[in-house]
Amino acid sequence: MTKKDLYKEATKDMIVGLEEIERSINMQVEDKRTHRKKKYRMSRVAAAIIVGMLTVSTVSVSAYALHHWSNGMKGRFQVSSSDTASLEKTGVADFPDEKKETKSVTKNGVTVSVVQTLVDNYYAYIAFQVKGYQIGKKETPTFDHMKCTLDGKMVSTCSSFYDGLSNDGNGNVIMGDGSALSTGKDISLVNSYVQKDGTLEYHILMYTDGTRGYFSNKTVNIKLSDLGIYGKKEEVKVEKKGTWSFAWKLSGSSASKVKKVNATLGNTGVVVSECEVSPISLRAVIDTSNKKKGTMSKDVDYPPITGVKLKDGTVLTCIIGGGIEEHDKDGRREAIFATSRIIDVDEVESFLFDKSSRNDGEEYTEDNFYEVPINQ
Amino acid sequence: MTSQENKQVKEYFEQTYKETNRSVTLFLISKCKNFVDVSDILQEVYMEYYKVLIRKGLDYIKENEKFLISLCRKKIATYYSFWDRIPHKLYLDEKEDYEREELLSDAYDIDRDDVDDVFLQKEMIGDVKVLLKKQPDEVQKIFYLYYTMELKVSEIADLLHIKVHTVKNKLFRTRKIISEQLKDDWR
Repeated sequence: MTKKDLYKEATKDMIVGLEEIERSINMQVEDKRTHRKKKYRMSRVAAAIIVGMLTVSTVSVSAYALHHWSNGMKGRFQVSSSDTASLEKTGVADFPDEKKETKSVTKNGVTVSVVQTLVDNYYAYIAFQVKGYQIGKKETPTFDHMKCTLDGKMVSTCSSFYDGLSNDGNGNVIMGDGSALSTGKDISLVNSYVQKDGTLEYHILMYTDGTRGYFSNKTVNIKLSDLGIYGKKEEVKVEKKGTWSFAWKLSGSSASKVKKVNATLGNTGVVVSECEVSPISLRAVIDTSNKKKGTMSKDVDYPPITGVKLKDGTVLTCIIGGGIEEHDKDGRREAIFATSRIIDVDEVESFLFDKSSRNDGEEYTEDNFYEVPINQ
Repeated sequence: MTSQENKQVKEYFEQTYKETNRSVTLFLISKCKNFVDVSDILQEVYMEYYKVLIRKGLDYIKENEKFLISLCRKKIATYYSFWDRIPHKLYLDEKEDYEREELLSDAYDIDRDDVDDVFLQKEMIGDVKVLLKKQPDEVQKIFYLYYTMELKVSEIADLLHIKVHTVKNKLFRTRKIISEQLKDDWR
């Protein structure tokens, strides 16, 4: 290699290429799809409200929590007061604005601040507070553009304004404060993007590329541009033009529980070799090389991971958020998913893999899962 | 939109990208004050173009390159204030007039040397990348145009509205800085 080749190699990625542009386009399309899908799913669930849902009180702030938690984070992930203290202690939760690592940015009368992050080995959640922008009751706010890089490289993301809702861990929509929905007619009547103090919260989920410790101590650069609302055809009506830019070094925690399990899932021939759980993600290493035909639904390569069972018997059947799956030619699969609620790692008894034996619309029961204990 | 239509749009988009990427990138490099903004704007422009293809169909845009350049202009206008867009390159050239000719002639010899095996290491390329990122925007532009886009020195000078002399100087001096900073590895 000549010096010329060396410089050529060093300069070739200075400007984005087709691959990165297409990835951004795909992410944008996926973001919109997720947005639509979420609204649809919630509407359907809301039409058939299930009584007796879990009510988890997250309103009071624990005396042990040292920092001011984002209401949206607490609501979205159903964070209990004991969780706040534990996540601060382990370093999963961080507060860049409070710690003066970032500064609020004001453009066109709208102030945006980085209020909180939750970071583990594979995922990073970032919550922004948006102050000074009012929306109507049924309107859905959005930034027209969002760009996110990690140490200068594009990173996959999924983002939206927090709508004040959450789920109970079993696929049922609940309010952010843990209470049941107050109306069963239309989800748009109960969702609330506007917080009690009149602010909005914008959440970004950043995905790993599969590398462990992907985010910690890396500089994240985020540009949010042109604030507005979705129109009837899902076009963005920009009302506040401007770009709100932030750059800071992410901190987080690499703490997780990793267990070698070597468990065969029923008669499928699929073997789970490793399980890993952190407060915000689940990971499983799966060997499909000896899977048996006719033992699984045709549209799956292996029984998908969907939730966990806790030591007290609580079954959380539906806690998988976004994620990635890596496929090797030899049949090895690695599934890494962000969870839709905070997991108390010490309380996890087993991982649940879906048998796909449930009909659409039916409630999940334990019989619908292969259970892989992680405490033996 | 059907998957067949989606595939068509994707193929058309990729074809247009191949045909226009060079000219659009050169346009942005020549107009953007900050080199780092080139990537951002380039990405936004092609994303916007893709959106238009989806919404309006493949026949809507008659001349892709002109359309993309006009999108670039709009994006640049939102990125930079009026004063930022006024060229102010002149003082940079004046500073370079001190340079000695013999240094300039050396500027090209450095490329002919073979690099030791150590350069094959990714770490070394990474180090050079890091050092280049620390350089002024104009230097980064020159390096990108010279090494990746393989423009001649005179073409770079035309594009950036600076003297040939300046381009040579910046190439030479930056390579020297990088060599010195990495000299332990380069030996």
